[in-house]
Amino acid sequence: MSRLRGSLLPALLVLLTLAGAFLVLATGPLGVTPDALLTAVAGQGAPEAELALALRGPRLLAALTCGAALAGAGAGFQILFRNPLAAPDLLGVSSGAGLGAALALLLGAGAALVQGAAFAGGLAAGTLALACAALTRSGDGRLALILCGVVAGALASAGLGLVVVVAEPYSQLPSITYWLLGSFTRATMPEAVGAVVPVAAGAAALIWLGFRLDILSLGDEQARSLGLPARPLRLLALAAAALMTSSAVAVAGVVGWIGLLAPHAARLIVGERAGRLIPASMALGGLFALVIDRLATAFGPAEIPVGLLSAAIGAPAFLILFVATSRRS
Amino acid sequence: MAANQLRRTSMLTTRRSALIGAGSAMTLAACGSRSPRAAGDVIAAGQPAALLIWAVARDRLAGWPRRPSTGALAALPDLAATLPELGALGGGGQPANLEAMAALRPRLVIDYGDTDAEDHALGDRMKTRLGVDWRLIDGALTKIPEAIREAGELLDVSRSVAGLADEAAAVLDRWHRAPAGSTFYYARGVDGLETGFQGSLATEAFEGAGWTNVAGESRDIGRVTREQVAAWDPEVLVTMSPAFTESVRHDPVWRTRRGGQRRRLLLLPDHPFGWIDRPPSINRLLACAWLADPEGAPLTIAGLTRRLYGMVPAEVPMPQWIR
Repeated sequence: MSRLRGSLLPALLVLLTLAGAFLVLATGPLGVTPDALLTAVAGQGAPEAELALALRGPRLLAALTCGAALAGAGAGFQILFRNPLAAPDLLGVSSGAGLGAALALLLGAGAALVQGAAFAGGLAAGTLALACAALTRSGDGRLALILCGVVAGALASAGLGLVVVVAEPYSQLPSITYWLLGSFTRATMPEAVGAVVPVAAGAAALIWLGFRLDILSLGDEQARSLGLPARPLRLLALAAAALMTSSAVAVAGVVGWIGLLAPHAARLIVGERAGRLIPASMALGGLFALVIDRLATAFGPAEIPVGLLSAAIGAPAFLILFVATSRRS
Repeated sequence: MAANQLRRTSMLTTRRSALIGAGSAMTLAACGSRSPRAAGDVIAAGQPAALLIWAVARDRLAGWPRRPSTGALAALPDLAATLPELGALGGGGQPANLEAMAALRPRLVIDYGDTDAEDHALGDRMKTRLGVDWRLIDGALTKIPEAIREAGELLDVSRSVAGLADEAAAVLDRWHRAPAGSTFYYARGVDGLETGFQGSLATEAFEGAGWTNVAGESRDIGRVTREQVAAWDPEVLVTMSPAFTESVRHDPVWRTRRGGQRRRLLLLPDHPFGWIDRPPSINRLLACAWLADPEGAPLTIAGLTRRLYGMVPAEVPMPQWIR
């Protein structure tokens, strides 16, 4: 069983994610066949296949990156806070990103600026929560972080509400609404690649922290007794998770449940240890994002917002997982 | 006459106090003791109605449901900038403060748009709450002449708007008889992936002129993928967004058709109001006039913008084919 957990199941996860990626690449309204697409990948495809590749590539990269980022950040938060309900938005990052994007749309900014504003808004909300928590002296600071995250999120949500109220109802308001509901299709290749860099940096930091996160989850005193500088390491982990969340939301909008569901499912497969849980969560998150992206365009030409789909699928799936694990324990 | 003037002045003072008290009319508050103008006595339930009233009897408009942008106000006569923002009484937009509305003691509220049971129910509810007559005028594009006449009657300016109604009828007649146009995709939003599907208000002006909207199988406004647009392969991209135009003018994915030909890009004016929606009101007549006769339209459009908005003909923007 332990061998299964150790190598076979993670390998299966990677295979499944690759299969999901192939599904997204090989299907679409242009009707290009997979072999034609493979020829295009090799650089010798027909114009139609090259077009399909140019259109599906950024979508695939955005879905994989955002799904992995949200799931990795969710796993990081859950380990740090020893709380299975911790989600990537714990520090108010998603609300901050939503406010940044909505403000940019209100001011008539272009797509790249909207993405930049969302990224900055998410980081600003996360920084605000971390700074406020640093001012407090309550125990090991976890409660303060949660409360300050709630405050930052609430402030950003209030600002977002104000933007929605003053937005022009025939053009700005639909754009803001669609942005908030999420989509993997709006990113161009440079924008999707732009998100990969901060997500990779955040993921590398979390994976490097690995066993240190496990120790940190036992509490500051325990960590210090084992020679770990608890506060700086926690700050690094939180900053990495906030960076990943902010990058994902900037590209895809507010897509919930991935960061909650994927770590739970991954925990069943690879166990609790951070060194395995975080990469496995990221693989599952990417797979889940690919599935909802494919479903988003499967029912007609109009795209179903991925934020809606992730909630519609993620919430019952999470409930099933929760019931299954609680019965087993 | 003097008594009438006195009553009007007194009413203005009351209105200003009430609005400032309600905290919803910063424009008036900022004016101090100098009243910018005598406020009108007709309230527009939403921005489409405001454009209709502005075209028919602009001095009767009590305020904007949503204040036009600075650029739009600069293009409109000075009167537009003096009107306060009142909020909307239904549909989209910042909701109005009903008490501030009642304090204006309007003679009439006009709504212009859909006329289904829900809109009638809204009118009945507002009539009861505000104690003011509420008239709902059918906002269908093809009924713009009738809407102008009906608003003219309600505002006692039937004679002066007869010419505009006749001109609108003539424009719509030519628009309806226009030869079939190209297939098109209407790109909305910063990334162009929001669109109006077949039969939506946003694309009615083009579809009525014989153009074929490639976005089918859904309703109203929605989002699609870039691959879906490529699969539809429209001959023309229609947009009102200069930012989107700039971002895709050299983008081969957007500008190349499946057969390799260059896809045309049409930028419609969005100033002072959109030509095909934003809001869906009588502003759409401009697109109809252009679609009916792109070559001969400038004169008609100059006349229409003068009558609809009070704009100087020299400032009228025209659609542009982007290379």
